[in-house]
Amino acid sequence: MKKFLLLLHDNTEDLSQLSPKEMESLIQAHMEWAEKLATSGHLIAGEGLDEKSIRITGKDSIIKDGNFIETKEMIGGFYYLQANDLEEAIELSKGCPCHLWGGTTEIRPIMQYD
Amino acid sequence: MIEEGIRAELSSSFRVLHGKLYGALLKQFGVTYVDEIEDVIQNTFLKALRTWKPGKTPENKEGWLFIVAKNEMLNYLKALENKRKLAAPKEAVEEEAELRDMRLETILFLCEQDELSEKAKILMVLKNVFGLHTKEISGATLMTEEAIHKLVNRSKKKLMEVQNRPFEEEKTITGSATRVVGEILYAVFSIGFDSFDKKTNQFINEDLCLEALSLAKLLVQRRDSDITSNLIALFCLHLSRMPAKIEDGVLIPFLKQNRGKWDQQLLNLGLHYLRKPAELNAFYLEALITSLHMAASKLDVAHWQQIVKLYKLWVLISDSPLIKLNLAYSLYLAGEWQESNDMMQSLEGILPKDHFYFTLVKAEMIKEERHEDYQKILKQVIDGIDHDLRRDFLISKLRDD
Repeated sequence: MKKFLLLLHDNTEDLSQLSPKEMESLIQAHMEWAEKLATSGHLIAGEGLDEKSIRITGKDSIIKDGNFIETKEMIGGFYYLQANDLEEAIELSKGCPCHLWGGTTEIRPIMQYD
Repeated sequence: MIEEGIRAELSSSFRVLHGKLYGALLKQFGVTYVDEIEDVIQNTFLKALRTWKPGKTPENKEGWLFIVAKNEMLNYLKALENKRKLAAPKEAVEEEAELRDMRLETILFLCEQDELSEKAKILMVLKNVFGLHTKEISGATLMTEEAIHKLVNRSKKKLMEVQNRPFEEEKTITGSATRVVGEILYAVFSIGFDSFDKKTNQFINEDLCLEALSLAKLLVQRRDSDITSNLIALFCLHLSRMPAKIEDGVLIPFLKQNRGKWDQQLLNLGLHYLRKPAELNAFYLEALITSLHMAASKLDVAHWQQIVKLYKLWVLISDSPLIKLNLAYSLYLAGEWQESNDMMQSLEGILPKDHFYFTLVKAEMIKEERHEDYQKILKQVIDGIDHDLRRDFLISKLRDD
């Protein structure tokens, strides 16, 4: 099995425009999707990310506030998946509820040498 | 029974929770922060999105959201304090362990704000207490999203300018408050009942109707009145017909529905609350007319004559052109053609030319004598419609007539 990181790029503007009902159904959709992936053995982990972000750059370790608050897009969470190949990972990821309200997902295969 | 069936699910829905959180935060922090309160609730839901997952969902979601919202609000205030040099309200820190349902109190409180127009009050209640989004309100009220936005923002500004008013609980409900709250609940119910959801192709927003009903019940418990009792009757009678409203994806008009499908318990509950008022009111008349339609064994001239009498009483206390339109149609069915015609004439120029029901009633009245014109009008209406269900209904009508 190959491993993949599925990054969820949320469109914060669209998310803030969701009605309470839509928000509730989005949460429900994520739950159901994660459960489905867990049952089929494709889910290794998954977490939502805080909007807080600290960036540390260079050999002097300069610390910068990298908060996404002012930007339109942010990585709102990730799923860590396993699948037979990239094609399967793509098929699985198409169903991610992140897409429902204008979000984008990004699949990054975990590099493996064997 | 429909009502019991979704009650459990309802009480934890985000729309209801929005109303509860709004009430709780408004009580603790006051109207000065109406704007922040909305953002905080939105952020709280976002936090739920980021942290809830299978096996890691809080057992008491309501309590979880309440604590998060409160903390979020305090953080917000701290940031504001730094930015605007505003002092955070001290009393806000008071500990309140559980989220209480203060939606009725919140409606009463908003109704008392004299700075707000009636329309603004209804919009604020729909948005905050019933957790409806601007686009949902727009879809149901024919107001544009922009117009709603503007009015709500203007109203919020007005509220933020006034001195903080105490949000009292368990206060005495006056007669006039009963009327205003009744009107608001009626508006909410109507939006739920007539709303059309394109995604599910469904006509009725059940949960909204049931929430209006449950708040009306709370209201009548707090202050018994003819108005509220008849409002409940009306809600129950309309809701009881829900199971028969759509068959095989086709909209079935009230008078052609399969009566066996009506929810008997709700129907009986409706009749139980129907009460002859000391002073005539619109809710009573609507409930009474509905109950007569539902009880009639046949819809003959005698039936319509009875209905005409009630509509004639109704136009005395209401200047709504839609009541006149209903009266005109009832007069037509009761065989009073001249009077009906006169009434229709009087509505020209008052109701928009392309008004959906106005056009349909006009078409219906010429159906027998000028069948071709009737079909032409119907076709025109069909072309201009964007509701699939309504369009299908009219197309089937065109086929059958």
